[in-house]
Amino acid sequence: METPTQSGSWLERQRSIIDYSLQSMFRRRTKNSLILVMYVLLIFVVSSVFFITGSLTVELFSTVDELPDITVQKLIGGRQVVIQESYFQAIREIPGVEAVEPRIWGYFYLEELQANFTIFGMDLTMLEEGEYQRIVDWGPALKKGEERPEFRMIIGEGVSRLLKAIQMEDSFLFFQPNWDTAIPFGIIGTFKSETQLQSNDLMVMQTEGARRVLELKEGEYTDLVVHVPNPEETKMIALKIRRYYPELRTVTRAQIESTYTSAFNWKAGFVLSSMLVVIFAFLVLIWDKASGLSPAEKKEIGILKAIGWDTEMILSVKFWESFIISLLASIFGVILSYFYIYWLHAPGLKEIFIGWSTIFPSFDLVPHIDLKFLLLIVTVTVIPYSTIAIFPAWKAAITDTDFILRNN
Amino acid sequence: MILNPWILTMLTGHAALFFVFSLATINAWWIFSGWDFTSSSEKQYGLEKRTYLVSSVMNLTLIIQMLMLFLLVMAADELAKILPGAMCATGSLSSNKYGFPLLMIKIGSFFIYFVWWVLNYLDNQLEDYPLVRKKYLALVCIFPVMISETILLLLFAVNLNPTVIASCCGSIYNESSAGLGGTMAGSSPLMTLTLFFGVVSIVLIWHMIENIRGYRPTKKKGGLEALLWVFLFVTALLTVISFISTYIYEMLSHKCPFCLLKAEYNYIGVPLYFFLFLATATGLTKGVLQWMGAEGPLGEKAIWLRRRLGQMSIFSLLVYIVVGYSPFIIYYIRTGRTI
Repeated sequence: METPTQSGSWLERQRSIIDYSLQSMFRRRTKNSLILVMYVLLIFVVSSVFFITGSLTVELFSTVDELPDITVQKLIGGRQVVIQESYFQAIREIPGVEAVEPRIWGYFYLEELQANFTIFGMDLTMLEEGEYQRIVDWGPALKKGEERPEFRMIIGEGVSRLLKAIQMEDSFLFFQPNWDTAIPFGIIGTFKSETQLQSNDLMVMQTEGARRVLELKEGEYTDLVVHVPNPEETKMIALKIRRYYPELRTVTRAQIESTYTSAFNWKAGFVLSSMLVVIFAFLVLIWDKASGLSPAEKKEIGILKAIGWDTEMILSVKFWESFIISLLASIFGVILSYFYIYWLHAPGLKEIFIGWSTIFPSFDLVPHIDLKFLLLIVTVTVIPYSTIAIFPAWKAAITDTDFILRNN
Repeated sequence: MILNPWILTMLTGHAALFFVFSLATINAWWIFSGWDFTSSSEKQYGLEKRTYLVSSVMNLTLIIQMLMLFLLVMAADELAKILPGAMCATGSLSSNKYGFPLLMIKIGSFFIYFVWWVLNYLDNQLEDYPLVRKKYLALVCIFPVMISETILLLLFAVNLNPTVIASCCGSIYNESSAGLGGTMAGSSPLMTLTLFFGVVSIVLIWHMIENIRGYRPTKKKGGLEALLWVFLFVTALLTVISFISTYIYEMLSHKCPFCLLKAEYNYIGVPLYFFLFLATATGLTKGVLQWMGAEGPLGEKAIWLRRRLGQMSIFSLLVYIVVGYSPFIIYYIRTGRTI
């Protein structure tokens, strides 16, 4: 055992004390490793929640630039209904609007698979020729698709997997109850996995085909998309549209962004608040473990005091002990959760965050670790731990020498 | 109330802080009311042991409070993402009427804890703890500050409403807007700069006079010095808003004291505020030490401590000035004109 002396610089003394703390922790490895394991688990869970929130937010925000500046929907009785062609011209004439684009989209529920697909209608030649060509794995050119160009589509990976199971991966037969015959749609490609969060349940088809499946009449659209080149003007233009046509509803990109952030934050907050109980239980355990001084420990402190250590030095030993244990737990906990989230893809936790869709997207999480998260993790775990650990440390440090030595 | 990890984290951290601080206050009260250094009773012995607990708790409190102050600003910045209209911390803090009072009380309590912490350090240097009853009474008196901080934090968290449109820093720190922020931004840079550098020169001259032999420190001078540092802190914040920020953002309309903490501006705000806080805390404590007045061995220790604090405060102040005014100097060299 090394006895620190009053001589030597402050730094040297601290070094000796750290050295002593490490040895004393090692001597009581059973008790300390139990605390460490609990501590690591706690930090692991907390940091997993933060990491997954961070990654999902980043993943969403990476696509947010692609979102339309303003989406215009028509409401009747508070419900969204189809919007007529007549609105385009008027909105296009608002100063600051670059273009207005009608959209056709909706959902198709396939009862046999209990799956809900998102159908989106567009001019597929834009995907086949434009800059977005690279986001699609193009399948072999289909004869059927070439015969009937309006009935072709590109599907997401999740859809593709489901369709493979029912041997419809080359072409899918659409049928609505009031149709006479089913319409086969040729599948000309699959979206690559980078876009999975958005494209997983997606079927992108030629406008005319989508109109058929969604049963929209000529001149009717699901909603309108307004392009505004200057972001400063977006809010004002949205306001103008609502003023001119009170029956229309506008959704700006900033609103969508804030909703997504709120949604993920809410989920993180929910998981975290249910974990407050766990944190509390952990603190009680620490209190219990640390405050019960073993006879050996008492004897050790008694001897230290007898050979000239004062209360403050024993307090520093205890401080370094809790510092070291917090540091180790933080490092292990964070590393463990990194592996859990980015290597194992967060089984169990991901389902809570992604949502309710019947076909679960199994996309990869992009590592995104913000230094801010470390501050959060430390505040949620290390601060409560150190406040609790102060009392047992003090209890140990003030123990009287004579009392211990006499009672031995 | 919104279920947000940042809010929850702040509440958890603050709950821990409040818990230990309350226990420290109870112990402080016991010590204050029962302390008798000449007594050799078991009670006195027990109280002496309790001083260690209070010291440890206050060390921790100071560290946590620093972290929580930083966390509050960062949380406010993050919350801006979900509060419509808010672009940075300003928006979230002003989204209800408790945000800015909370920030102010947090800054104030940080300085109070710092002063207490230094006093405690000074007292512990001496065998007979001459300041013991004073400092524990002070701690009991600080407790209401802690309580009001807790209440403000709860009110702020409960009243955060993501459906109410918040303001952005561009509208609050705008010359034409009413209110404190507008007044601060509208105050002419010339005036705030004169004020700030006026106070700085008084502080520097004061520091030099102190080192001349024959200088007699009095209680009154100490109190004046403490007030001077508080004033310096306020004028320094004013210059950040009305002058320094203009050269960091290089935009006339952007006068925000929070945005400069962001990565876009190379975190320049972090060293800027760190040294401003350090300078103010040490300078203020130095004044308070003198204002308290001390004789005998305590006085000797206090003189030594005051010298150290004085050096630290002047050094930090100079670093603050270098960090804060280099964007202006760089801008001036590059373009040969002011904004």
